[in-house]
Amino acid sequence: MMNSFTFGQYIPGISLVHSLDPRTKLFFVVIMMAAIFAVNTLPGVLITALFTGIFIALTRVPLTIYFRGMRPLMVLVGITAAFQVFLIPGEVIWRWWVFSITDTGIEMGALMSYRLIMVFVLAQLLTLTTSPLQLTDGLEMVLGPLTRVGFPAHELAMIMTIALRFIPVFFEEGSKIILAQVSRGADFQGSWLKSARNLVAIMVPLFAQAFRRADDLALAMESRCYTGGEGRTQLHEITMSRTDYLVMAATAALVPFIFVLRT
Amino acid sequence: MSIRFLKVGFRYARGLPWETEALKNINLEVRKNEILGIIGPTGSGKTTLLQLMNGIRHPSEGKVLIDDQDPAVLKGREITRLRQKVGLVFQSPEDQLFANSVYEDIAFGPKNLGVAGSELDNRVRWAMEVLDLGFEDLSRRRPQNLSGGQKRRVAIAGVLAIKPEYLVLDEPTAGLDPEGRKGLLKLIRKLREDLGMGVVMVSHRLQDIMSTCDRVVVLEKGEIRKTGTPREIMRSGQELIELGLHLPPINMVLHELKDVFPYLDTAALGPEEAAGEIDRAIRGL
Repeated sequence: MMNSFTFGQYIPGISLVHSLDPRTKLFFVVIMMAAIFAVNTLPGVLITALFTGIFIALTRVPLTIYFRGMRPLMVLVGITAAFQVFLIPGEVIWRWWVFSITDTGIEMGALMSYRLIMVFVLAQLLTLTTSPLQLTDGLEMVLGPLTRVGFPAHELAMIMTIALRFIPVFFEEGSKIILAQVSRGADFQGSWLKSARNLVAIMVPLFAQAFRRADDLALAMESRCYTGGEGRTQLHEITMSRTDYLVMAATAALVPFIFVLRT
Repeated sequence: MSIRFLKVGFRYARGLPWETEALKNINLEVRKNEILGIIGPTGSGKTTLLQLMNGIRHPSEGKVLIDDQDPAVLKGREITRLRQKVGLVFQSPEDQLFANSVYEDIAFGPKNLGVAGSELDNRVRWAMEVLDLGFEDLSRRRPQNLSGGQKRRVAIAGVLAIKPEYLVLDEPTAGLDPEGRKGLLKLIRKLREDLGMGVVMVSHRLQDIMSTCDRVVVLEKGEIRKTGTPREIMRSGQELIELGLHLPPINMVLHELKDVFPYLDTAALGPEEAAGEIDRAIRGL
């Protein structure tokens, strides 16, 4: 792994969070995401931030890594915040030409930015501390009961693992193709139109390679007699420990607070 | 005029847990009218070294100067113009073909540099001719429908069409059949002889390097372990074997025979020379 792409990467470690059962982490992440979207008061924001902060500290993964992949997200955050700030009616505190900023707008803008960033951080927390294999096992077991009503839990988990596994590969291939075309004089900093035209020179080979890779992977899986999830056993069964139950209990204890901290 | 590496170091993924030092303290000069070979085990930094040569990557330490200009401080048009001096052919360059016709793909580079009209046409024809690609037969064909060897040559023609003064090739012969390989190596020599280009090539196949290059650099763990003529490098066969490199079969034979004939020179290039050397050893000369 030589690239500087961090989103969706797993960083092996021995922290408490690393050793938790993937189901526990999934539970934590889902509850926290719901909580972050539910709360809309300052105490609510503070409590969810504190809770996530403690968890992040326990992962012992350097904070810079959490925020490293965030730059593209900041564009989305910026746009969302701008919409909130300028378009939400309320008490006007600043006005220029057709633009006006309201107090409610600022509040909502800040809240939306907080939510988006936290969702990103929580997703990072999950993938940084859980190997793709563990993540799939956990997801498959959580969704397991639904197989009785025909839900393809194993297949879904498998698709997710493959997707996660290939994000860095795709990224690496993309950057190799970009370098190759740049060294042939392709310009991606110049005019918008020219950049768009040059994009073809990247997209076509990138997708051609992705399809080829997908074909190879399908062949490789078939030649190893992969037939889907039915009757498949696991080499390393995941088990819940006491710590897992404790973390789950602490997370569950947060739920009543969320209702209290909503207005 | 040359590409010069001054105490160059390079790190990937700086500041991340998987940060790796790919190159350290590289001092090297690539001259025009010379074929430089780079060999080394996997992960020794060969590809990184090549990518530093035309400024698409910049060193973490030290400086790379292309004809005395530092690509790390140039911007916009100037950097594009400097890159044009050094054509870089990536590993499996055929994976980067994208256009609907061979002509369009080869024209991509020169077009980016502002070449148009009859000059563009001349460039494409010239590049195709140098690479033995028949213009009439192939220029309208889709690159996807060509053979592996042809695709590779189309990709190289695409780089050649920007008229670089140096050509840098990463594993140019990998995955080609013997015929294709021979043709490509002949072409590389032709570029040096007819056009006076400086050529740099990386290869796993020592045979290709030894038969083609004027000077060879051995890389190990991001550092230059040895520099010399092919003959000088072949003389240290044991060292190359320890690095995990495969000697050409004929040199392997000489290497094994050295146990019996201690005065045998193992640096022969090609079977004829090797046969003479064995003959000499048997006669006890």
